[in-house]
Amino acid sequence: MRLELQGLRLAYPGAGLATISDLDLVAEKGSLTALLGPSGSGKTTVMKLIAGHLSPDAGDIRLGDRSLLGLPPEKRRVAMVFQDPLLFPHLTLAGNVGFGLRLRGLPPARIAADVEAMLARVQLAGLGDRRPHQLSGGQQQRAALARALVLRPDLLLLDEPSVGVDPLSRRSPALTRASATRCAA
Amino acid sequence: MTDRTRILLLLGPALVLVGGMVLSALGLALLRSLHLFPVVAPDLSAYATVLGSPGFLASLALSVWIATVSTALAAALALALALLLRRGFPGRGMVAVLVQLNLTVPHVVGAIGLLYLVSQSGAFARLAHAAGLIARPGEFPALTHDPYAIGIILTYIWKEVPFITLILLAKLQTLGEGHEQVARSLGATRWQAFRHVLLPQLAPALAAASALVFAFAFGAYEIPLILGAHAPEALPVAAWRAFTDVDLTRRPQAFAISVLVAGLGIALLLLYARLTLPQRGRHAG
Amino acid sequence: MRAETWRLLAGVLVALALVLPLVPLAIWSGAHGWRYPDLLPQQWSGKAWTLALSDRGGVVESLGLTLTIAIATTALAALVGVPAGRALGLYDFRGKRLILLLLLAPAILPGIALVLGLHDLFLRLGLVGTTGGVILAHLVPVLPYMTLVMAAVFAGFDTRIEAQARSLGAGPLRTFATVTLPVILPGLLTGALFAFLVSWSQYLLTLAIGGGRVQTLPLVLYSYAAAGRNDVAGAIALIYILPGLAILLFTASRVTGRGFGAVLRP
Ligand SMILES: Nc1ncnc2c1ncn2[C@@H]1O[C@H](COP(=O)(O)OP(=O)(O)OP(=O)(O)O)[C@@H](O)[C@H]1O
Ligand SMILES: [Mg+2]
Repeated sequence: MRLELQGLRLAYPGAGLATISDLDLVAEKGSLTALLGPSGSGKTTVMKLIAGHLSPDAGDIRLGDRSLLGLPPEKRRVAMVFQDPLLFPHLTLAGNVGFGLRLRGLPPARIAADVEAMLARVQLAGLGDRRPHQLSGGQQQRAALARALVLRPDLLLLDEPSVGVDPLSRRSPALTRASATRCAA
Repeated sequence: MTDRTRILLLLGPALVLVGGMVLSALGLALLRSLHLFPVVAPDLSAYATVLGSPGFLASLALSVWIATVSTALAAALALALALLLRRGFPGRGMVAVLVQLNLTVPHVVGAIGLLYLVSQSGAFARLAHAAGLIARPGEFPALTHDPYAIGIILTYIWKEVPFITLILLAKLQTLGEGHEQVARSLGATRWQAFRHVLLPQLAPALAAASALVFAFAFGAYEIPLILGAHAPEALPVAAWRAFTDVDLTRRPQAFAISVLVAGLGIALLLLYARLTLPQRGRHAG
Repeated sequence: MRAETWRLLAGVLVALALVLPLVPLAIWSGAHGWRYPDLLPQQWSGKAWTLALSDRGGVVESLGLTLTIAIATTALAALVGVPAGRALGLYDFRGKRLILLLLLAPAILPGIALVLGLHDLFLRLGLVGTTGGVILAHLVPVLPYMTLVMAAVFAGFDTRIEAQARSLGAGPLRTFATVTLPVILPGLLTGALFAFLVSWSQYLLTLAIGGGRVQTLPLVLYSYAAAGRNDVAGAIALIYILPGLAILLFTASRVTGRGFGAVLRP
């Protein structure tokens, strides 16, 4: 599915200059696009706009043949992995990874199987019962990735995903073979 | 100086003063309730009298009712208010300041203010009269000195909603909005993000604050004194009346009531500790 | 936009509800009789205020006494609570949970559970009916708040800055005054605010330990209200809430939501 940003503009309330102004971007289906820029240049902001956590002041965001504007985040089929892992502290690792599947109302056996498979893909097999604080930084980061990947979103937004991911796991299948369009920074 | 002696020196005064006073008070109440101090024949007659009297049971039921209803309503409203104050709207700062100011108003003032507001000759009754809704004060619904203790409950809600709200706001501040945004990205609606992500994380703080409110509403004296009906009286009022009765044989009964209330309080204390104190680690609260 | 309108409406309702019970008190304090069903008093007068502020009313004296007790209790609580908070915040030791439980107990035990036993204890110590006895008794419900706040403050306190000061030549007292105190001051103020307010609003404990001889403002307020002097009660009620408001506004910049949270950090 093709992602298209047209003339995107955003000024945080109270901040003087617009953080994002007149941003155009096209990412083709199945491609991987990287947003590069110095710290504070607005990479996270762009992703939050696409994911629906911020609304642009002007411009359009299109995914496939529809505009995402006006859709709440949960209806966009866009999964965002944040800069911090932000695992839910009250849930286990398996609970975190299965979170979105449970919201879709899938049968528990199916969820357990999907979660199990996904944990194996990010090399966290067998750790499903752990609480987030019992995982290392890199493990938490991969768990956050797994939590988004397991939903097979149309678009996967990764905000600095390789912070804390060691070189070995960076070469792992999960990161190189996903069918979704990815937008990584 | 070793750590051990240092800790003892630091904690000593607090433990001796407050620990000493609390334990002596509880111990003395227990002894007096058993007729053990001064030593007469120890017996459980005070407890038998108290537990066998319909007046006590009615007072107990009333206090449980007051504390339960006040706590449940205050907790629910405080949750809503905290979520409201987290969002921006014109006048938000003003409401936040009023919430803090309310915390400084003593309960007696709230109780008397509420009395003048909602009693049958109070400000609301006058408004109802002016609007032609009632002709005589007696036609205004009895909200004070009433069997359902509505005035008492209203006072607690008025005082405790700000208290719980401030605790929740502090917790919300440390939680941030990240977890909810993640949940939304994973397909949760606004409600689902609240229900499955925010609420479980707020629950311990909410429960701990509620335990404090319950204990207070159960054990406070001046609010039911001002707003309560003559019979049944709230438990603290009944206990104080028994304690100050000219008939000195009622004193052990008063102590028996205070021991029973302490028992309930200790259960609440353990619950509170479970919710707030870490199992290990150096952080205190 | 619609959502914001709803929030504004809810905010107005909340603000109204928070202020409403204080309105009749204010009206009564200036009323020269306020008979049912008059919406407002037919006549206004300053006699309630005159009485409340005169020597006859006993209110000014009681205000001074209540302030003295609250300030003395707060100072005592700081003296005892700061070291206790330091021990609980900085160290891990066996029996810590038990000690915390004991020190927190008075904040959670219903008032009536302790008051009668305390009365018995203070009677034996000959302290019933004395201002000193009331101050000591107020320490019971006040200290948990001070200790909790200070424990939270010290849990985030880096003792290496004290070591640094010592190695730069400051003695223990100097180190406390110039390094430790400034760092813990915001927390200490929060704790002191809570301590003051808890002592300031005590009713039954003062009644019991004061034995009727220590007439703090809440007791005076209640006796006027019970005697049907609604106008004087209104005036006293307003006088009674002023110091709390003043202190809160004075410390508002420091006492943030975080400060309140520190008290009961669940
Ligand atoms: N909520 C906010 N309110 C006001 N300004 C903000 C807000 N969030 C971010 N900013 C500002 O907007 C700019 C872009 O922020 P953003 O987080 O998008 O940067 P980034 O490119 O992701 O940086 P980094 O590489 O450090 O993560 C920064 O200057 C930041 O200070
Ligand atoms: Mg960023």
